[in-house]
Amino acid sequence: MDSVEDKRLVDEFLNGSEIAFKKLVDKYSKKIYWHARGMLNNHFDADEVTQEVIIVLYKKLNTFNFNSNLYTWIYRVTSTRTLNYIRKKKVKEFFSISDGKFDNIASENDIQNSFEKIDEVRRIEKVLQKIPVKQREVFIMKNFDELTYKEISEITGKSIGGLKANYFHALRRITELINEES
Amino acid sequence: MKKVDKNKFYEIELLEEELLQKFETYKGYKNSEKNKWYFNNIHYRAMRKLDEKSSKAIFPVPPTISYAILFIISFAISFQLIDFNEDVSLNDESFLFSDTSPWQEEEAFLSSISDEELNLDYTNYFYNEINYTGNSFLNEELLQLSESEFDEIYENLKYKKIL
Repeated sequence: MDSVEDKRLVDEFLNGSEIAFKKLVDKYSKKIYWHARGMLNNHFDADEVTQEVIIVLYKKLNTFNFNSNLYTWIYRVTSTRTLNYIRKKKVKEFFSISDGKFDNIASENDIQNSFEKIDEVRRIEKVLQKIPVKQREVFIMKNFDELTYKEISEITGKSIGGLKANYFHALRRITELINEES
Repeated sequence: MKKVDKNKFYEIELLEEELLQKFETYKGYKNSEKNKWYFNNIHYRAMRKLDEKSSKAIFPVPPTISYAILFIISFAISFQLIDFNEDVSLNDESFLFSDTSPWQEEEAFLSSISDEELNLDYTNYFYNEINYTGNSFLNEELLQLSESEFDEIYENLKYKKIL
């Protein structure tokens, strides 16, 4: 049902309907944002990646041929853009282009600061940053995005066995880190 | 093998259960109604960014072409500054050893003078030296020497390469 609706919206968008594209963005923007947010740890960077992915969708939806589900394709774009963003950030940090001033902006201009247990949220986000990128990605997809191993394999192009191993290591490490902190 | 997998599966279940409660807060944060405003506007913000990007590119030149143009310009400027027609020969010693050439000239000059050509008046030289020295005792001693004794001293000095 979902894929039928997606196809209809994509067709309408390709025929010039901006409203159809807005509906697609409304449907997937949360998933894009929260995936990026889990991977990048702050609102500022996640917002950047989300906007970038939306722009890619706008420009490249005409190349999507419905051989796979639309959400799988969107996740693949999000995953690639997020990993590229992490790489770029690391290079910038290596050459000291990024001086950490955006870290404050990130926490000040968060999606919402009035959340009651914001400290607990930040603690979980910090823990996520302490595990390797590969493990973090599969953990977020499996645990927060609630994707199956098969879907994650389609998105990342990795074997299910490898993904399971990564997930297991991530799960163990996160539990350890959370217990250490509390 | 199956036992190991079962244990692993059991451990995963336990860990997931343990984390489930701790992630409830995070999930609550994700699904909070307060985030609606942000997600309702993200589409417009992305589209505005796209418009800004496209309006910025008034003269869209691919980076590779920009670098090529930059290289050609810098090459042309350097060609103007450096005279590539100037002769530079590695066999030209004065070019290679310009700083040391006075030494080379001096050495050549010295080696061209043979010992035979030196016709020095040693007797007068010693007398002059004696006149200059302030040691009257030595002066007197030397003045009393005969020509043959003087010659002997000279030979000794020459033999010991003092002269």
